Amino acid sequence: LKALGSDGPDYDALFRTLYPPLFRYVQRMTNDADAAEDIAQESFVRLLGRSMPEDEARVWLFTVATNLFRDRTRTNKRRERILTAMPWKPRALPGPDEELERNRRVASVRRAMTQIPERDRQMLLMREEGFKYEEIARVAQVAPGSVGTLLARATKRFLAVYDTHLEEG
Amino acid sequence: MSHLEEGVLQKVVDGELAADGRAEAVLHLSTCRLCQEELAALRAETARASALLGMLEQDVPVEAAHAAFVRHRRQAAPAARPRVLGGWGAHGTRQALLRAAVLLLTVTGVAVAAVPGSPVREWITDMVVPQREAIRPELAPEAAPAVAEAPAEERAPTGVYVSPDEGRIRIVLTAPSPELRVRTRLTTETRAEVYATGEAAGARFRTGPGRVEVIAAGPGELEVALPISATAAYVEVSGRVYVAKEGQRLRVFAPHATGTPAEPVFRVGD
Repeated sequence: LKALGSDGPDYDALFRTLYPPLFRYVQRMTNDADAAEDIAQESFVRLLGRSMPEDEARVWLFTVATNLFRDRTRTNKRRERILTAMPWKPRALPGPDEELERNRRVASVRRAMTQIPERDRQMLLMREEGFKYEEIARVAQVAPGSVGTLLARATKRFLAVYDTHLEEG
Repeated sequence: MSHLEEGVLQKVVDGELAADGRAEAVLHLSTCRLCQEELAALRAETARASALLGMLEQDVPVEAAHAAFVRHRRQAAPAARPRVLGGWGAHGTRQALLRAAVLLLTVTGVAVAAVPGSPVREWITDMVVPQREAIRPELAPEAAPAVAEAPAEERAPTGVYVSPDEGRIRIVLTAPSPELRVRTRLTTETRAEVYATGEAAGARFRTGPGRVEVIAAGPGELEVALPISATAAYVEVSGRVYVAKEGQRLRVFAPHATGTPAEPVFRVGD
């Protein structure tokens, strides 16, 4: 691991390595690419001037991004507005059956993600980004020993909501 | 006989079970059909959820975001500069003189010590070498058992395959070991195949439409076969493309790649 602060932080390398997973995480949390760009960018700006190893920086950035997402939600109920105002829409032009089916599934995934508890969403998405249980526990502020159970239940809840949406079409 | 808890089984699925609990869980699983079924169900649910979440993949605007980040840094720089320059008053001058004196003494000392037979060299030898000798025995007892207790675990090769999605294939390596070697080739098969061997076989695989994510691959080897029929195929490491299919051949972007043009090999940390 390249330690930040040894020869001065290599912010460019860090940005190119950690921005994609951070953006993906926030975009999936918010269902809003613009918000994801803002939050991911703001998280990196707050990193400026700090020194920590890359692994620590990764957890730190995800923690800051999660807090920024919560702040937005608390202050102006942006989350609800985003989630109701920007539902996933299939492409305007009808494509082949597979395309339509895929769009339908993607729409169901997005809807399911908006309807499960925030902590479930956060933990599932962090696991998707390859975080260890200990790191997930730190960001989600849960006991490390409970992560397995919480993830198992979050997975079940997500799939149940997804299946319901898929059946409703 | 008490069954394994859901959380423990999920740890098994995610490769998170600590070594001390692993043996007990494996022993129980070898005899308990109920827990085996529960484990299989959790494994299937985890893979399904992962595949579904993979469908939300969208292009990440790295370049535009990086340009914005560079602008932020430039804007932040003038604010930071006065703090540094402000130190160049009387106090700063004293500090600078002190630094210069220390530097001069250090350079002189090193130069004198470099001369064989010089008293400074002998003094340094007397002072430093015994200290090193004294430190070694303290470290040795701790280091040895760690190696003995944790022998390198032999892992069976693992692998996955996935069909292209709209002709596109992405092999994404997340948090790989810098020592991981990745060998890529084109195949006439219609699907992409990824095999991990050695320590890399402990990696977690997540698949989605046209996408394989290899998470936390250890310092072994990854063999990636990209279908020659795919319209686009990439091997990415932490968001950067290292190998891409270009027409009927592979184009390598990884620095210091070895192997052949038809089968390039790169080491993640290079």
